[in-house]
Amino acid sequence: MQQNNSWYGTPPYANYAPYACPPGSGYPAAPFPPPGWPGYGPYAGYQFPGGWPYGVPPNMQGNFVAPSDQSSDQNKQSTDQAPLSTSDKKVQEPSNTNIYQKPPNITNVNDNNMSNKSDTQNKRKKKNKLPWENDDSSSTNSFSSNNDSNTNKTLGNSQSTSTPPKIPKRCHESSIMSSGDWPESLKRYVERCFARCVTELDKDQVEICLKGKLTSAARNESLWTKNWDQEPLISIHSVAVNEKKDSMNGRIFNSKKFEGDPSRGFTVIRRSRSRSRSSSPYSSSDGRRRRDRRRHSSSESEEKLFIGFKSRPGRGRGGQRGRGGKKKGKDRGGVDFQGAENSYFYSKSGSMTLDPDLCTDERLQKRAARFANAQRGNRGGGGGGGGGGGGKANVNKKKRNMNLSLSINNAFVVDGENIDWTSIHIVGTSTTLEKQYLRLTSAPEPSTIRTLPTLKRALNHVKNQWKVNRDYFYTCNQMKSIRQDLTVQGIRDEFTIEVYETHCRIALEKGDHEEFNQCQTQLKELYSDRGGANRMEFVSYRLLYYIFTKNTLDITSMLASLTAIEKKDPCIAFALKLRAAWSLSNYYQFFKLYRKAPQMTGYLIDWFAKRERERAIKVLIRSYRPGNLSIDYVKSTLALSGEDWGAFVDEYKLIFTADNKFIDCKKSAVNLLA
Amino acid sequence: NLLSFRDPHVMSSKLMIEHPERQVEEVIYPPLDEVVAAHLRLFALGADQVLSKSGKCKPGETLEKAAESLMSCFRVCVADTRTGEDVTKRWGLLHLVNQFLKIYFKINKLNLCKPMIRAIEALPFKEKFPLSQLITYKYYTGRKAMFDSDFKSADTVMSFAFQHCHIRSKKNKRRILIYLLPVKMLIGYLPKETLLKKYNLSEFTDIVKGVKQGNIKLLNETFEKHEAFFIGAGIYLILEKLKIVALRNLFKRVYMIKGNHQIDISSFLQAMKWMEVPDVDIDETECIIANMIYDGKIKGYISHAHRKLVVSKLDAFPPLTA
Repeated sequence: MQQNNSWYGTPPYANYAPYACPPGSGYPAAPFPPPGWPGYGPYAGYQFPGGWPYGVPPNMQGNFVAPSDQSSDQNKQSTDQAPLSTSDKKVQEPSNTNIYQKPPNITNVNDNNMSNKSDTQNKRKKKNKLPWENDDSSSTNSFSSNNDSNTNKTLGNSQSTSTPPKIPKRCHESSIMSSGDWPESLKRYVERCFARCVTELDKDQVEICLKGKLTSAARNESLWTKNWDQEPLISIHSVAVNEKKDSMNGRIFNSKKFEGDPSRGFTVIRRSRSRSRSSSPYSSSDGRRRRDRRRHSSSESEEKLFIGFKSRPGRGRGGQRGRGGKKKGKDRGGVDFQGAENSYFYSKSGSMTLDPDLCTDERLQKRAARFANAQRGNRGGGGGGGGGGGGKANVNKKKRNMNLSLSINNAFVVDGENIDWTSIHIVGTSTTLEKQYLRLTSAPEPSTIRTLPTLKRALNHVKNQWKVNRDYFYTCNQMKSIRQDLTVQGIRDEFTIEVYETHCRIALEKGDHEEFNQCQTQLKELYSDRGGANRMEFVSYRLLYYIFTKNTLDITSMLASLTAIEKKDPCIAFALKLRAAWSLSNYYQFFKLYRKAPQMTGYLIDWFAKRERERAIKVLIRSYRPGNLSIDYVKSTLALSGEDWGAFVDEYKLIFTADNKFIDCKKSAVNLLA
Repeated sequence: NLLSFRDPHVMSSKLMIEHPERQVEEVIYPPLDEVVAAHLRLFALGADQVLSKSGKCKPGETLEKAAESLMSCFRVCVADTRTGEDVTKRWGLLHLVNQFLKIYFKINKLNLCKPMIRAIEALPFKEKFPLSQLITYKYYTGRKAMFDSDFKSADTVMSFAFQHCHIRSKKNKRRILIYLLPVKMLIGYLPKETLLKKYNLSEFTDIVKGVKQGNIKLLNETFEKHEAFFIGAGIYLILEKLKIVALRNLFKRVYMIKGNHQIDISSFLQAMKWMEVPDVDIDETECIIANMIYDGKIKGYISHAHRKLVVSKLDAFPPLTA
């Protein structure tokens, strides 16, 4: 049915319409031209640019043209049903009156404007043929077109001499007017609209918007009267929204918002392109072919029309390297990032036309960062902290945003604008010892970042201060700023590990769970990258932290991942025993182990010792009920020292016997086990 | 089974577009939806394996990406709240959710399952889905409940899945059983040997035996022997809790041997020592017994001064299933 060189035959979805209007474009979300899409007027028979990939839905066949992507004319007409226009050479009045007169000289139906993206129209227009003529081997929908004939048709060819295309049976509709019926100013307007397009997405979008505009103009009879030169250009989403925090990723199928990043758009294109490279010219996917065709057309079209992909130096084939791949050149902004990886999209050599206000350094950095971000996926991000650099899923992004708003930043992702610092490496020059921590919102000045030796001195200084002053707020602040300086400079070595370990220990001492968790997730990553002397110790802390959070899932995975050697390490072995005791509610063992906690595990166990004690005392009171429990026994079992005992008693309202040596279980039970 | 890149379902132009969700809206009806989703997931799974083997990306990344792609389809289906029950797109939800669950279980991010499960639970027609999907769904929610230590609901859900699973899908039944067994045993039901044999779950035989007899020694040995299997299935921690059940049985035997409703704690201690439980002393024994009393496994009390356990004359060790 189609001249579909598709190797797998008719695509299964061939009968359905490809797209609707982009949300927010203000145009109705019709998946295909509205019924009655002009059977008259200058738009009659308008070819849907890029072809009509899936053919004309049966119920619409009466109304519009099957897309022909290559032929010059606007519709392939089979001799049968053509309710609207059955005609012949004249651009004329279909059954509904054509209220527009044929414009005076349309000899050179040369619309390179209407759809730069689709060589369909370009070629069609160039060829000076009339709408219904079956011009060449083009087919009526993109499935059928083949690349070969594409390449042959270049804009600027005036008449093609190819044979009439076969018309898929479904798509044989009449169009009334050739696009030559458009005023020059309109053509220029269209040209300008497309010139701003950056990505495939933009092209599609502009097409749809233009369709809508032209239809309404046609209906209002203002097509010829409107001053297209002054008409505001259609907004291009990719240009408008490239600021948006959008998770950058290179997936073809994924787009959360209609307004894609230019980057994402490119990705799509590039990938499809590279695939099309590798496949036969008679590629199967219509999408690929469509893009191929566009590429060809655009390359031949006037340069100013559309920044053709070909025209961009260095882009070339095999574009998979793009998107975050090896990048050359510096960011267009003046910031000198040594060793920065910048996307070459934004390099000076690129010929991308961006609105000037979008070319600020900041934005470019962000984009570059996003590319890098996307490329690395989740690398460099905090794991369990729930936010990492390179948000991938929305979930991640939300988590990241939430995390940021909650507490100090995850060191690799900065607030709000989601700058990914893994991609930017600044070398600091400052030598000041102390530095306040401030959340970064943009690239910092090298003069504010401390050098590595300075940071080392700073760490020692902070440690001493902590020992002397125990001012947690100050210490935490300083530590965070040290961490930040390290991150921004991309330093991830033993010193970084030391910094994080120190911060972990300070958090442990202070009892700051969140901070501890953040640091230990970072440490986990660092250890897996570089290993470390204290790794075992911190593994045990991690296990204890999971007990604290009752995270059985992570405990299981941790158990799964522990090697035999690790299990023998005293710290880890201790943690494992504690876990076993905890899991069986064996408070006796639990507190026995607690009293002998190695290294800093004691601090961690403190965090959940209270809840274990609570359960234990309940068990004790319940199980020994008729009798009395000696205070000493309880104290020793629950590892309660003298001073804590008082508080403990008060909390659980334990009632003593007359001689104050025993706890009266029965009476205490009333309070406790109520 | 890897899908080739050229497989029509993958190379389909439909999937080439940036906005598959709109396509879903207009084009892909739930059955097709499922196919696409399943293919995508399998493909991602295969790709993941290949990629992680070659070290190019972290394991689970492609799966996460697949999840993201599916997410857009999911949103479309969920949002379809205005249409009538017979034509709504929410019928496609369960299949999608199953795919998500599979992915999240693979990448160990169970917390992401919550919104999915909530969406399904909110459906008024959630029992009317095709049985196969229901079973898959219950299997995964059961597993999740186990991780959350919610054994009661895990039991109901898993039992349903097991009973309704088709008699011929042995592999699936076995998988369900792997998770159903620990839950049931914790509640107090022990499986028959024939069942274990039928589904080739010999690892559990010794566990069942150990629990029945109160043979802690055997239990510990089995845990060590099949540690990899249990940890791989994620049931190791739950099986550990069976130790308490085993101890209860052991203590019950001691009680029956002694025949007296006042038993020295030292007898229990003795029993534990015979079972080669490491490092146990009388205080710890008291602690264990105290826990059992608290949990209702023993009816009685401990007299600390006399170091005796005094049990109820009527029903000292009530059945676990009560």
